[in-house]
Amino acid sequence: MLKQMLWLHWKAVRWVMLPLVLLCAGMPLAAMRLSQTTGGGDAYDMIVMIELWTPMFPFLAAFTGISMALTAWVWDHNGRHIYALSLPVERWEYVLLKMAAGTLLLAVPAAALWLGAWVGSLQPIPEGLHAYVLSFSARFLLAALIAYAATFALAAGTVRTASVVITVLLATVIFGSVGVEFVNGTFGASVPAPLDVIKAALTRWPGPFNVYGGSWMLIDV
Amino acid sequence: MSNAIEVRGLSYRAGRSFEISGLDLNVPAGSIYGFLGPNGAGKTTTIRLLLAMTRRLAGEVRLLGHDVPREVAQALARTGYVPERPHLYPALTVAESLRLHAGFFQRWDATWADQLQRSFGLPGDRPVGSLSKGEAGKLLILLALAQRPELLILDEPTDGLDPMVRRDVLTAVLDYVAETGATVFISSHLVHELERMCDWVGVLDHGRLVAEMPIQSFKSGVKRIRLTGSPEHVEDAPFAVLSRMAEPLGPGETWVVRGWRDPMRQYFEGSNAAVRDVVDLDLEEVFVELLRSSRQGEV
Repeated sequence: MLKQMLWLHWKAVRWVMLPLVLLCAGMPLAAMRLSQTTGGGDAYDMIVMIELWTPMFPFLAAFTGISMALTAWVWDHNGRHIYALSLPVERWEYVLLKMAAGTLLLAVPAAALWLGAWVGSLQPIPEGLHAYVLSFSARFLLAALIAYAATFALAAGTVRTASVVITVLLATVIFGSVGVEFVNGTFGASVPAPLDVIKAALTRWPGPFNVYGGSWMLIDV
Repeated sequence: MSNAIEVRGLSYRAGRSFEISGLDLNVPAGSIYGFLGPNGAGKTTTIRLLLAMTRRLAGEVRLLGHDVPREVAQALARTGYVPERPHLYPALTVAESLRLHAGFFQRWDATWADQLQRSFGLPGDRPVGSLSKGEAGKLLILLALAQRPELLILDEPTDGLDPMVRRDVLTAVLDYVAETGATVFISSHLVHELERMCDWVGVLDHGRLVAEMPIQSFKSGVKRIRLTGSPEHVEDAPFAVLSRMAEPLGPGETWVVRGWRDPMRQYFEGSNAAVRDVVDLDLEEVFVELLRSSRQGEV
């Protein structure tokens, strides 16, 4: 069944995947070429130049994961999930198969990124610098996967479920912030704001979005 | 005879306007069960509840002996389902849809699927989204039949199809039933269509089962009786009076009754009326009278 699901997933996301693959292959290549040309062979200049590209890669990973997850559910939502529900598989199994198929297909843009980075790294690099093609690609894959999983979970439900989740989150942040402000102002306490707590939980290790921070350097010492 | 579908006390509510309350259904194994009802009666909702596509409030559902929703995957492996509206992925071609479907059903009969595809004239390379309504209807039936189900649940499978396609679709279903003895649960508001093929019938109105019986009992028990006069009281009648109308031209009345047998003619003796003639009703007339009387709370 994974074969069927993988094939179905491919049919659903292929037109979204094509530009993503081109972007994923092109961006590291362009980053390497331009950094080298502008840097004029100087190691420090090259590092500075490549740092300018660094913030784009987490965004590219997130964009890849989100667009793949949203596209994966479009056909099901349009058919009100009737086809999927008429298949002789448990609901959790169907979702798991779909998730697994999406995860496998995310390897395609990740491989394109690796290829672009690898081709870019073939040209001479100033002494003392190294190209971290594999770890860079692995970080990209992990970041794309996390974005994919989060969006997939939200998109798998109905619009109503998604609205409830988002509303509860927003309400927690807004009313929590007002409440914390009041408590801190009235009683002189120093309770952290809910938004800060959530942000820290998600972005600091072992939070799932920690991978978006840290080093995204393709070339480093 | 065991039941292919058993429903006990099924309840569901959608807002304030629609509810199914305490619905019981018994679909005998090997029967062709017509699930009749006007538009909006709750036929599609009931079918979705049977297949656990919609969450019920209360009740028990068993499909082919499987408890639904707990064993819905096992039940679906033995059930062919044709929904009210095409539900397939529009970007897939016919051939791709067949291949995808085949992968999920262990008993998929590829040879027969090919034969049906040829006899239905379905082009394999056409995207499902570009098929006409008739072609889409044929494809849905093909998918349901080629998985060799023991139970077919068809939700208005011929609605909106032209007579040629309708005949093709129903013939394919009847051929399959003749060959395998499968049970068919078919919903429709096209009464004449079901009259020719069903051996059991259930009538749903406003989420309530108005009648469930073998089609012969359904048809033969309901008569239109023309009377020469106007009886004054009907409280102790040995049959159920579904409707009673005065003759538009001249004296006399026309009654529609249920549970009629010929010896009951004597009921009218001494009541200032006599039976002039007794007419069998066709299924559509019975259906209409049944709905009318059920809405008046007479049944």
